[in-house]
Amino acid sequence: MEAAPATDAQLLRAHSAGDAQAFARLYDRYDRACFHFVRRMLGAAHADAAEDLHQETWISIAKSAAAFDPDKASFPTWLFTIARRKVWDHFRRQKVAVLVSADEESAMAAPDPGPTPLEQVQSQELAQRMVTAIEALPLEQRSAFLLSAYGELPLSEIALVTGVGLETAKTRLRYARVRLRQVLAAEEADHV
Amino acid sequence: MSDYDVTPDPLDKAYVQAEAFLDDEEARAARRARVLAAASREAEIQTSRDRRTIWRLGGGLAAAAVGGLSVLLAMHMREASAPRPPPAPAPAPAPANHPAPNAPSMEASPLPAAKPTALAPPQPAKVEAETRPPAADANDLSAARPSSVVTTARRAPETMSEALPVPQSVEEPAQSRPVARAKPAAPAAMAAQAFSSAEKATAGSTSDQAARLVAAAASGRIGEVKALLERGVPVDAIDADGETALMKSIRADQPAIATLLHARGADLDRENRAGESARDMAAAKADPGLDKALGLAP
Repeated sequence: MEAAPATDAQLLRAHSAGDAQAFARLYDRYDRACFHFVRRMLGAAHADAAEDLHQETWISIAKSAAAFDPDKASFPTWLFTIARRKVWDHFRRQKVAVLVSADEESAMAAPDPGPTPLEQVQSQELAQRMVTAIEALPLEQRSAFLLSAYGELPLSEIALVTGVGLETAKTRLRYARVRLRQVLAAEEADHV
Repeated sequence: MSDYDVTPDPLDKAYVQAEAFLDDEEARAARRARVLAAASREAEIQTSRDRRTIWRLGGGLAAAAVGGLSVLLAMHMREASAPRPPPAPAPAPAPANHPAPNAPSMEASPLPAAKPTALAPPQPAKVEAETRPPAADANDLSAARPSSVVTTARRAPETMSEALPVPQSVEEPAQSRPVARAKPAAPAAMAAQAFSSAEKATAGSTSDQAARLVAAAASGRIGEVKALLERGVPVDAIDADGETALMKSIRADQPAIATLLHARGADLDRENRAGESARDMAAAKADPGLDKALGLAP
């Protein structure tokens, strides 16, 4: 019988014990999710910082591996908490003031347009329009959407990462999706 | 739970597809190499720092042991030089202002009761032998050591300077040491008094106050933390490991103290000897409440 793959916590412990390969394996599991999260949170204006913040996130993981407690949170929750904080710190250093979405309510003013053709991304152009629409979301909504879509975190963990209650996390995710559909539907209408 | 948890949204899949379209495998490979190399460097640095910390700790322990021993010896010598009442009235009283001679027997050298301890000459070996209780084992230091002195001596790491202000005892000849061993029932009050005054002498020292602040933060003694800060102890004062009170409060899950220290301007980015900052420690905790308190989350 094939041995079960090591859990994230086991890999972290192995890394703490000096196993360099364990860290590489863990990195490979979450590299894309972490990088895309950081990159999309930064948006086009701060895209240059994505590589550095992604690296800083993993260095923090490497340094604090021994402190990870799987009973408190899953590894992805921990990872995204650190990554999100790196982004926030970057914004703070850059004196980016708009950190909290002010127009969450306005997202619900228009009805959800329902599925759009963009939901089947089959070209580079469509892909670019999709990520541009995501980067235009208010930060907290964007954060909730990215954690759910690429990070595959359940609502409870999105709430943990973003430091809000479950209901707030749920509302942000819902608003993000509605707003995304609105933007994509409007773009689609412009292209027709 | 919410329907969002159980029903995958088509937008999620669309977004993952979009990223797949935009992924640059070469850039990803280069990023991987950079991150893993940096992590490896970091691990090496950490290992070397750990080694240095162990050496530092070892040195600290050795110094503490020496300090503790010095305190112990100082206490014993102090007891040895204390005035003792003569066992019987002297048949021919010596003149009142006559200095006590270094006489070979206790009968011939009664020390004036009012004579300051520091000026009292060491008692000769013969007297010591006579006053040694038969039950005490002269080779067993621990058996004869007063418990209060032992307890205080364990505090030596933070009271190295406390051990120093007993100069007259340190200068006394080594031959007076057996007296201390010979008196298992040494007055605890005397030791307490000596240490109390030693503590008073060093209470104002910066390192001691810094250590107290850090210890109070780690133990959740918020009143003491406030008092020390109000007394002017620097909020970023460090202990032997280079850790600030803020770091200790984060490690010890003391969010109220962390909030207080942060409000008093504690530095989140200052690093301890292992290269970790309070910010790193808070990140490792992944506690949204703490993050908010420290201004790390909106």
